[in-house]
Amino acid sequence: MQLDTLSLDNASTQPATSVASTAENESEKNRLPRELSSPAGRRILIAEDDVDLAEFLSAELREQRFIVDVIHDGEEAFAAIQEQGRYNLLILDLNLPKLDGIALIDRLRPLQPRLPVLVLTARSRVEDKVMAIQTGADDCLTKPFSLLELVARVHALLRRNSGTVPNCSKVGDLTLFREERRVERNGRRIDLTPREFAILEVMMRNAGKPVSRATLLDEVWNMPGEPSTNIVDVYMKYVRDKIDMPGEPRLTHTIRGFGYALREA
Amino acid sequence: MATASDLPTVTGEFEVEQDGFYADLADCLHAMAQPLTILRSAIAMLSLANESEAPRHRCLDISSRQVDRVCNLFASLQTLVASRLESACSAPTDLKALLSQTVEDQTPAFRERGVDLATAQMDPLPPALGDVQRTEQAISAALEVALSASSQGDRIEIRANRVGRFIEVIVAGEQCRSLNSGELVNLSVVKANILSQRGQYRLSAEPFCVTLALPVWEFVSQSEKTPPAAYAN
Repeated sequence: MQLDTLSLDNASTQPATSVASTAENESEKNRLPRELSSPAGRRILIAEDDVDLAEFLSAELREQRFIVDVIHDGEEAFAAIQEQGRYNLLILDLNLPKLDGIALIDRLRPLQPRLPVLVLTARSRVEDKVMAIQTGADDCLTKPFSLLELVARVHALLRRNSGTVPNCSKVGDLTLFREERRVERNGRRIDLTPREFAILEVMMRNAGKPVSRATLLDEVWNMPGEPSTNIVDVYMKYVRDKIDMPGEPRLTHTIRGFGYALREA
Repeated sequence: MATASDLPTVTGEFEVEQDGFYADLADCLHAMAQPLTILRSAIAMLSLANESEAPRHRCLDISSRQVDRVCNLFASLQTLVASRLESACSAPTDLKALLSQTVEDQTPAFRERGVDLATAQMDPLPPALGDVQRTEQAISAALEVALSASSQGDRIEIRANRVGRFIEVIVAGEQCRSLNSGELVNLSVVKANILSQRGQYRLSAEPFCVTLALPVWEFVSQSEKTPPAAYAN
């Protein structure tokens, strides 16, 4: 079924009615690759244990030209989502068997810090929603919700995350390959833990710019606010010890009282 | 009129029972949220559907299925509350006859799904202390969950035997999948029904196996055969 409200988010692909909006559309099209501005080709994983609801949501999202996979338990969902870049969005019920939604997000975030996660919950307590978001969910919908709202939020999350991030980033002779989760410096392979990789990925995205400890804590640990521990410094030291070997030009720099920067001297 | 001494004492056991009851209610409300989400969505879609008939029919079909689901959950909720507030009858109950009747009633549904429902050979059983209506409801609900958790070609076995001072009814399946919220609510109904008859209840989810036990009539004291005055209808 084609729903009028659902097409609103696809405005960039619809004929425009005025010169101004045509120009905006053109600008939007130029900014985003086509596959990122429309559902076609965007792959969503629905992890929901209620079979009827999962089938209903997947059928309606497929009508919207999304590619949708459905999984009914947490462990299987976690296994499916580990492959980097396979999914553009995860719709996650909190009450999953085998591995609940919160535990799944907790395990997922160090591996995939940027994957948009929309949580579905029948728990109406504010604390549950706050916990889901603090653990790393990007948005939360309380059941019973309307499909229209879910689709609108899916589009919003995809739009927010549609800025193109290249697979490969370089700073000096340091190269990070996102999909392969591989880091090399001057041909030397650098082994990083998932958390260390997540830190370096944030630094690479902000190469040349100072990155605050609070930003790292938020993006890597999903803990918004000022750090009350030295966990960021500890992990940054691990990263630095692996990146900047004796005799190599330093790429990681401490910005006293603020955070760090990744740049050539 | 009931006196204060007739009322149940607020003990740790009572609190545990009360917590269990509220947990069951929460499960029931959680289970209702699933069909209500689909219903709410289908109604919204219906209001937006264009003039062609097919999408309208699809929305109405979806709504109709989910209305049935919600109604069943409401019935379960009602049973949960009733089994706690109203006392069970305490009469000698022929479990073997009850089992045969329930199996006969449920067999068509099993056939339709291609699931084999088998009754194991049973020795003669003494009467149990129970409430025929509640026990029948509990066995039916256990069989419904077993059927819902099964796939075509599976086998469900039901058997009853005497274990000491109890008669056990066992509904055992072959499936190892996790039970969904609606199935868990049905099992809450089974549990509430059986516990309200001074019985015992055990669940093993993987593979599915529910054990219901009711006391053998001859071993129950006269006072236990009569419901407490505060609960008498």
